[in-house]
Amino acid sequence: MLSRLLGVLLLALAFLLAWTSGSHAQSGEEYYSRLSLVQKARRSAQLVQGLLTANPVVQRKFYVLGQTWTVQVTHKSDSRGRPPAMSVDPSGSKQESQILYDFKVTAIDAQNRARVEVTVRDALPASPVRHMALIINDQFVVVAREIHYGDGRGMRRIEFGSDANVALGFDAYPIELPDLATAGAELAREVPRAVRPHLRGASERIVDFSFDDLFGRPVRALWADGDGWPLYYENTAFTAVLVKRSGGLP
Amino acid sequence: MRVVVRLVKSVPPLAAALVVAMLGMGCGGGGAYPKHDALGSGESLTQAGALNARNLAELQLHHSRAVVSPQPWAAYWWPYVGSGIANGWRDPDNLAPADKYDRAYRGAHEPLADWERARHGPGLANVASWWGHCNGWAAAALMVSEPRLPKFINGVSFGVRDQKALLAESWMEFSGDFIGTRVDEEKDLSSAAFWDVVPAQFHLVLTNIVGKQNHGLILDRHTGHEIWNQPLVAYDIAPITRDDYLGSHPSYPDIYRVNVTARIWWANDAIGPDEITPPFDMEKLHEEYFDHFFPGRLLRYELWLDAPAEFDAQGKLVRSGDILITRRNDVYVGGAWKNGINPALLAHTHPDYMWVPFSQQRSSGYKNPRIDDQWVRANIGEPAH
Repeated sequence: MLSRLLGVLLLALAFLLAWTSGSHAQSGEEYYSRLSLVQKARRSAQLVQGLLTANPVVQRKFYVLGQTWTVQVTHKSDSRGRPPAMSVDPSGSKQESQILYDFKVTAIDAQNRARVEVTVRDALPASPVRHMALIINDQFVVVAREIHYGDGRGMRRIEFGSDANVALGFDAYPIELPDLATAGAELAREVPRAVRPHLRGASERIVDFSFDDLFGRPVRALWADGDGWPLYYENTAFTAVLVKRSGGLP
Repeated sequence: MRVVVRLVKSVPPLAAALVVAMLGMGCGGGGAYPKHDALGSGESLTQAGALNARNLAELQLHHSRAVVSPQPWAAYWWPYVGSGIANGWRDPDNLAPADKYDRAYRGAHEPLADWERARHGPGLANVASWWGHCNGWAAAALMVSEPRLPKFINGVSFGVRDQKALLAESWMEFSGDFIGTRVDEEKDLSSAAFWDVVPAQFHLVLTNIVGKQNHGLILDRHTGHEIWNQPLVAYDIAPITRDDYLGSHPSYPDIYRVNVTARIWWANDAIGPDEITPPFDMEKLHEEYFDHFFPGRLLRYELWLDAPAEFDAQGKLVRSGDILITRRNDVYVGGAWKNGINPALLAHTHPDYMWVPFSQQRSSGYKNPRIDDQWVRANIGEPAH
């Protein structure tokens, strides 16, 4: 009888412990330390926000009809999907895949918003997306994107706010822009090697943006004065380099 | 939906975690946006939404649930201990998918099946029982339509099993975008890698990527060191009420805390190799976590906001601050998981990492380099639709 009572008490204690600990799945100390980190980050972000007017500003002109440019994307390799101790066959390919995306301004409406069509030059193997379109306002904020599929599905249009760009990632197309108004920025001191062949000249003025995407992941973008698209954009999935500007460039 | 809330509130975390732990076996939104604006080129299919991508109340209003479309399909995971896709298990002719490929492929090539047995087989150094083709299958299940009928290719009969197996192999290497640090240590239950994906990332990815954009998503459902990639089929975030609101802590007055409960379902990779996936029915499976085709999981977490939450007279969330997340020394912080502390159960709670595949890539030596992806695409793989 006593042992049964003891058993019930132990079980109740186990449930009680689980219940109370459930509100702090990570240890209490860890929980408060993380709260403290987020609070500090929030306060420092508010502080930085007040200083942003000192940021260098990209000298840019809005798009003109017919303007075109090309962006080359190199995907990063990621081995997260494979078992940790898995060895690879040395006969495998080490070639990095590089994909070219062509951009063209096909319309500008009365509100000074440009429609930019984006096509991939060599279709991505087995991707159902045929091409995309971006609607960009005169503050260089992407206010909508359209996904056009090649498999008979209807077009999908996704709306965004018109005040600021939000980087999301999770897309094969290099279609995101830094938030020119609020992203942390400074004049670029050096540029990645992949960008150098595509500079207009050594004296080109370039602004270097560092910011986080919606999920807190780091993003970097370089934007040269006069361009309609970043010279360089790096997120967790790829690097994208502006390799050709032509047709209607202001 | 009321049932959901009642269940969550009446079940202690340990019991809920027990349910959670016993789940797995083996490796948007509706509404219509106005037709188009001046620059639109056709009818929109998305739910409207120039909404604040970080705002809990707005996300809850528009994207609290979604079913991925096209629906990912379930399959078999072709473990290495069974020789991967060089296994003729249950085939009427006792031929493996790789053997059939070798018979049907007309060009000169070295046998696919030989490489498979050597490099994706039980003789591989350090092979673990959970190693298999789940990553390749999961990507294919999002990107390619489910093979549902047998096919004859160059006089060789390819059953559903053979077609699914070759697609899984062909998609073993891919480009994509990942979130979350993979756990590699077997006994790790405390590192930052274990505790990410953090709740803020989980919630924002579900609502913005799956809900708003209807992107397919793959998650490693094993929180610990094993890898079980599964394509998400649907999620449902329970209504957030006044009872879920914790407010701010006296020591951290700028942060407002709220409890959230989410259900997720994924396509299973442990079904019979010839089985066909039925349509997913959220209403039918709402309280079901052990479905043969669509196992599910209940997850509880706390989100942190930058402004208070407000509720109407019925206790329903009507306004809130934005979801907070930060990163320090490559460690992400944003909310707290609340799925108990039992080590045996914790390994089956939040996703270890999540990802979206972009496209196939050539073999770097990890997937079978003898498979001709173009041949597979031409003969088997049709884009998902």
